[in-house]
Amino acid sequence: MSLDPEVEALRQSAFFQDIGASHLKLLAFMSDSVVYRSGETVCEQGDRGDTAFFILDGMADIVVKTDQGPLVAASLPKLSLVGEIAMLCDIPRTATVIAKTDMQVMIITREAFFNLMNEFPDVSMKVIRLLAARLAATTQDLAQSRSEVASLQEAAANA
Amino acid sequence: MEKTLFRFIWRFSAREQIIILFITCCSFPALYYSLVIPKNIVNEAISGTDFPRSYLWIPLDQVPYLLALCFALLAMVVINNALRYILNIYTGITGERMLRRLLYELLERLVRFQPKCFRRLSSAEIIPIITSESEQLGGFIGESIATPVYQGGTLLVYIGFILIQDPVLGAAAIASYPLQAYLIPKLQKRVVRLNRARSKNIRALSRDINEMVTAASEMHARAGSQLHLLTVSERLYQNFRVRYEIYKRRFLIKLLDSFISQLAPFFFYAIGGYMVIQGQISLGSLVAVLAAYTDLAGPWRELLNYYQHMVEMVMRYESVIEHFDHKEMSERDQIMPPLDKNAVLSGELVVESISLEGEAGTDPVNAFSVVAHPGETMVLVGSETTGRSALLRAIGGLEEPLSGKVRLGGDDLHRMSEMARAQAVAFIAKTHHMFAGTLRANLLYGFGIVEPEMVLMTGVGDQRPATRLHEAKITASAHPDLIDFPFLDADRRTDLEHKALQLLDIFGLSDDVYQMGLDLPLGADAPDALRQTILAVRAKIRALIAADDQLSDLIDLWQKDRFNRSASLGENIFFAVPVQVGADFNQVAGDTLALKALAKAGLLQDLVILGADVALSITDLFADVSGDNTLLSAYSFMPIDEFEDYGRIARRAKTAGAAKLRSAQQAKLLALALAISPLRHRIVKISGQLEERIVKARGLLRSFVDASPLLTPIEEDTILPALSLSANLVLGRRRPDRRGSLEKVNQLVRDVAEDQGVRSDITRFGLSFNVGSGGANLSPVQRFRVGLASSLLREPALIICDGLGAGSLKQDKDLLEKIRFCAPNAILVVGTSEPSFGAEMGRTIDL
Repeated sequence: MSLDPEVEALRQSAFFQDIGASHLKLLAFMSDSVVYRSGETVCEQGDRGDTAFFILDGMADIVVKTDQGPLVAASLPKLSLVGEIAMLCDIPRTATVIAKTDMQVMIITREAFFNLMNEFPDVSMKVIRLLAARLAATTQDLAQSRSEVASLQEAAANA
Repeated sequence: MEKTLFRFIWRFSAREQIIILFITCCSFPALYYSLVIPKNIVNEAISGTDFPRSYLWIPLDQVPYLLALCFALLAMVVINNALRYILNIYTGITGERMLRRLLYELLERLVRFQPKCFRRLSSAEIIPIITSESEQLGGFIGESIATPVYQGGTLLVYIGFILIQDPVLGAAAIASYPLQAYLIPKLQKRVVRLNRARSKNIRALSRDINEMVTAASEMHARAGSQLHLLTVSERLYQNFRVRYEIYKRRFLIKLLDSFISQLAPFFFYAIGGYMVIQGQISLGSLVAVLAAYTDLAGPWRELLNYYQHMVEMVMRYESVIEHFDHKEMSERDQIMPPLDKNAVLSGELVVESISLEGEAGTDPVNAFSVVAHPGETMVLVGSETTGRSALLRAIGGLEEPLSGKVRLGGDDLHRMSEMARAQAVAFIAKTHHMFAGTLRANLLYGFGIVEPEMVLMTGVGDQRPATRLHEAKITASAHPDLIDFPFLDADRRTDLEHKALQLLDIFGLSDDVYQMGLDLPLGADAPDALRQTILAVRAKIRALIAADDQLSDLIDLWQKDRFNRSASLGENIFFAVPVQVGADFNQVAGDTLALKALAKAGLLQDLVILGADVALSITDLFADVSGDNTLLSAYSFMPIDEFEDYGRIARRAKTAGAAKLRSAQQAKLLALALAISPLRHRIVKISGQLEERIVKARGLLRSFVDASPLLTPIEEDTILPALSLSANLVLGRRRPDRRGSLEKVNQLVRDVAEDQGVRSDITRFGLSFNVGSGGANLSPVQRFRVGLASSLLREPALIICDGLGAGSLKQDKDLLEKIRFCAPNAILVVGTSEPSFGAEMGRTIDL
């Protein structure tokens, strides 16, 4: 079936790798596969959105607005997932995503994903575990950064 | 209106009734002879002697004589039946024409009702009165005089025959009739009362149903469904009860008649038998009398049925017309006067001491007077309780005041014809009611007949114009040739459309109507000039798109020698679109001619296999999904409960080959394949090879497409009626895998169309937009603006605007300025509850 390449691609993403192939196939079926030309905006920072973007091919730039103007915070390669938090929760986009090259993107809507989670609870479980693991890692990073900042402040005070 | 049914019948169909009577009486001799001839055949022809006898002055031997009599009998039977048939048809026609006359008169009265009449009688009650309650009157009217005469006459003939045999027995035969004639009317009265109750109940039920429908969202939002179900259930129970009581009485009457009638033979046998034994009458006479008595039963029963029916119909007629006999109706002349095209009202508005009664929650208005001049703006300031709205309605001629007069240019607004008043006065309200039909029809409402289909419909039977006119004349109904309400001729229409478009532009609806024009299916009857324009612009747009890389990236143009990945396989293969807007290719797939054509083109097998692949993939994908998952069923190509079926057929196709399937099964799989749109549906892959073969096959399939009533071929130099104007301009499909392609293509079309100067043509075409029932396809703001344009189109002398200043003051001020701009010489009367709003606009009067 011609959804197979997409399923293969999804399986290589950290977010989706634990989810069974048949569920991923269903997800791919319900999602649109869309082309973005180089330079096109995929989503704008601050916009309300309920879709996640999975890059099947090409590269995307993540751009954030700063006081000094737009800043390219990162470049995402093929097989990256963007905007999954906005898909899950009702928050504005944290950054602008612009196509660096021509891209093939799978657009996963909240409706489709939640429907999948409702239908197959084990998918929900896996997503929860994934997000928990991320949270743990982020908390660790934060703790480390805080302690570094504290020691820098101390050093500055002493100097 | 005539007060009783028989007065109505006599007044309008006296001639027809006499003819019916005449035909009825003509049938008596034939009936009589058809009774006499069999007796003659037996007595004279078969067992007779003394031949040759003459029949009709021709001497005949026995067998010819027999045959002659038999043929005479046959002739009587034929004549009898022919007369009966003619009679039935004629009574039917008479009755139906009278019904049409009656219903038209009722509806004409409806039009003449003043608005306050509708407070007591809602549309929900009027509809059953006009449709079901009046229906039976038609059938009855035709036979109202003929039946009793015919049956009564037949009865008298038989009774006469019996009396001739023996007066005593004759007296015995008719002895029961006086008793029945006394009892039955008494019982029937009760039935009449019950029928009245039944009608009332049905009308109440009608009201309840109407509420449930019109207030459906309110009912559901506030959990009222159960209450309404209880109410209607009780109504239905009461209906059942009353019908049951009616049945009991009606069949009691029939029982009475039946019993009494069958009692008579008891007397015959007793008294008659005694008389025979005593030798006072012969046995033969007794037998003949008994036979004749049996024959009496038929006509008597018919008379009885007629009587019951007649009483019911008389009551029904009265109950129907009592609702339409109001004192407060406009005169007929006001609604349908001869049109005086030159009468244009203008001049001073003089309100002389008008008084209005107060309604619930508002004060009465006492002796209000004011004068206003052309070009003046007058503001009446008062809250809702001051009766301001009623006052404005009275000034505008919509409601008649209790006393006093309103004059415009010297003429009494309440006495003039509807036409004249509509031309002179525009009443602008926040809620504008629209009629089902096109935008054009709504804007030009009242100027004449805009859409001939509204008054010249298609139907069955004789539809010739001459017949239509004749029938209208003899039933005193309305017809375009009899009423002075003209068909709008082309020049006037164009003129009015032009003015209407200008007004729509002033009130900010121009863009909306332009977009409506773009989105409207062109249809088979698009004007020629528009077609040529579209083709010219199409060429430009296609050239633009082909030359621009970015644009070609967004839209796949239709080209005869290229496969269009943004369109479905069905469209690609046949290089055509379904004639019906928005239809899919399922019907085409089910057409055996299509299957043949595809087989000839060498594509059928591959498509069926492709369809099988789709079916198997889908069933596979959805294997574990629960049956009632609504989102997934939206994505599925087949309904979930047919998965097994499709799966079976698909597996068979894959293993045994497409040729082994029955054509119905092939059609199912073919339908799936035809629906696939490669860029949108990635569930199966369409190989490049298949794409090429599809393109090559287009030529082979062209003859099928041309002959098929389901498809319109795609051609660069003709328009496709099934597609919208916009789709016709582009003749391509937007790429489903490019975000924002729809908006960009729409913008391109709009821009090019404006550049080419065809925007006004398209906007004019947009006037054919169907606004839906009550204007449901427009937003309230749009409806309001259409109302403004329609009102000002007439160039009224007096414009009344109520309820301003309540919301945005600036918006309402802008509105009034625009109105003033459109009608510089009109008298503008504004009603508001905001004193500050009034102060800026013109002379204010506090209520």
